[in-house]
Amino acid sequence: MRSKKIDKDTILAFFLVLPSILAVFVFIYGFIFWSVRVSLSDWVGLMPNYDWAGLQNYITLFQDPRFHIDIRNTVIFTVLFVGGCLFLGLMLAILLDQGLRGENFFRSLFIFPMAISFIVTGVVWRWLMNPAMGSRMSGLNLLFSQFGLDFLVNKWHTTPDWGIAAIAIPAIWQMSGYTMALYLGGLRAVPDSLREAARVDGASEILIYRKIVLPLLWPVTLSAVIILGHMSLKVFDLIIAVAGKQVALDVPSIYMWTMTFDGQFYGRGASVGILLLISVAVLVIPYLYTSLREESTL
Amino acid sequence: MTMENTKLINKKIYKNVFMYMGLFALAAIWFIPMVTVFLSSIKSQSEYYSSMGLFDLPNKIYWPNYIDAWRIGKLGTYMRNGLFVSLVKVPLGIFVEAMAAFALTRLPIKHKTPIFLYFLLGMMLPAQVALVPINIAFNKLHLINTYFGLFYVYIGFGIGFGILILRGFFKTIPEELDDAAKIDGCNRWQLFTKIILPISKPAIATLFIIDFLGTWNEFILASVIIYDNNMKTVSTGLMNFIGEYSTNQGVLSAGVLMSIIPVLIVFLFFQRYIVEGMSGAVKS
Repeated sequence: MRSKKIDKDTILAFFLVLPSILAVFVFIYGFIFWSVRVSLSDWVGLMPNYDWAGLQNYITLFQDPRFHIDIRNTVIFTVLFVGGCLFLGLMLAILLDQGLRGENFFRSLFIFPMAISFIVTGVVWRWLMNPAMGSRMSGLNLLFSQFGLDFLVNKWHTTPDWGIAAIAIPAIWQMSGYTMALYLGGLRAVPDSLREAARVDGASEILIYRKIVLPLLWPVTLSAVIILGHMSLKVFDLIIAVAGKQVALDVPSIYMWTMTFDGQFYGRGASVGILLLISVAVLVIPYLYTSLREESTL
Repeated sequence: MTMENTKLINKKIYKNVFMYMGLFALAAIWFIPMVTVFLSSIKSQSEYYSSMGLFDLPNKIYWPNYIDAWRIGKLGTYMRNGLFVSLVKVPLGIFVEAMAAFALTRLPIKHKTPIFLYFLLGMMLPAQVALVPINIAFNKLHLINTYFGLFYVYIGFGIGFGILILRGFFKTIPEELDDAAKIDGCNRWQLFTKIILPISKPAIATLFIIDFLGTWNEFILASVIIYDNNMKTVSTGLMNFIGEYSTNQGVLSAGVLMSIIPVLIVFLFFQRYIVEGMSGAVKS
């Protein structure tokens, strides 16, 4: 009697997890394996070709000067984007943590950009960062020159070699509010008694932040770096919306896209995808591992 | 003593004034993009070229940009499609995820942790890895240009995050409730639909909102599955729009602004859920 009942529940459980397991098996793991296989093949052109090519696609990839630009651009973008979001996010969070009036309004305003798409952000900023000069000048450049700040007038994403740095600006605008929200959560979790005790001991506010609050925010910073870092590895929509597909602003995602869909180099396109997956995994797995271990010891 | 007090109060006022100035300056920077987009959306094309300044007001407000964006720019079609895709995908996905999360927290099932890890690791997959297989498989299965194709992929990609959020919430519901339900004659399925799901409204709301925004904004997967212009959703539609209207800033701005209206509404009403949900996912 009793074992029969357990069986019924086990069967129910099986059917409840099954759809999820199947969907993830096909659309996640299945696609990963398929991508790996294509990346090890000679496939060029519209006809499928699974002839074994070993690591040839990966070797070609690393010999391609365009992929070198991709790596450089990704590094520059990641450093500026993650650094900018952490800095601005922390500043905003500290400002909003002072119990000023209108806190809710400001918080909503700063967070809002994260709810819109990178495409919308890109369209908005492509106009603000219009690189046209002279009589056709517009957007922020025009604003700068109207205020006599001509030294700020620049070519934005068309700046030679450093165009990708301009793309980090809208990205920071979009995500530093979210970083602020993460930090604000962290700040609210710092017990007031700790700050009070330090104040009684005569510590200045700046010292309290440096010695007590910031060290306690370290886990928040780590999560933020993981989340923002893995976004910047995959950046695609934003660049496309601001500037289209230009070699100067190329990143692995765009390279992957042009290889596969514009050039039909399926093998090489797939190998870029796999490299992206590996870089995301390197970033996320250690983090998942430690948080899961914490959960199980709790 | 009063001297001391006024000094202290003065210091506090200075500090507050200073901080408000910083806050307002930053708020202005955050506002500028949206304000300027609005201003160019109400200028006719000729006026746009005669008043290029960021904060130049139009002499005459020109609303037809919005009508052009909606009808000729097909934004109406894109938004209708986007709403349809989001409102089918999101509830369906949440139901599938909730079933799995229920089994993982409430039912006798072996290997709970490995199964959970299997879902969790699936969350990492960058959409780029799926592009080549989607292109190959969906062409063969005739799923290109179908919303079914889009639903399959979206649900597959969303499962990890959904199970993470819902499992976290289900675990906080006390087990005593299960026993009470059993005594009242509920079977396990009824426990799920009549008790666990209704109690989990906050978690489901959080997931719904995050998922809605994600689906509404999704670009890369939609752009390899939906090519037909009449079937495109908001992000892919907007890209099309940019191509056609790159010289008409007025219509483009009007289109962009209309496309974020649903986002704005969801954000204003449910902002709390978004932030809590996103940071909840980070914590667990």
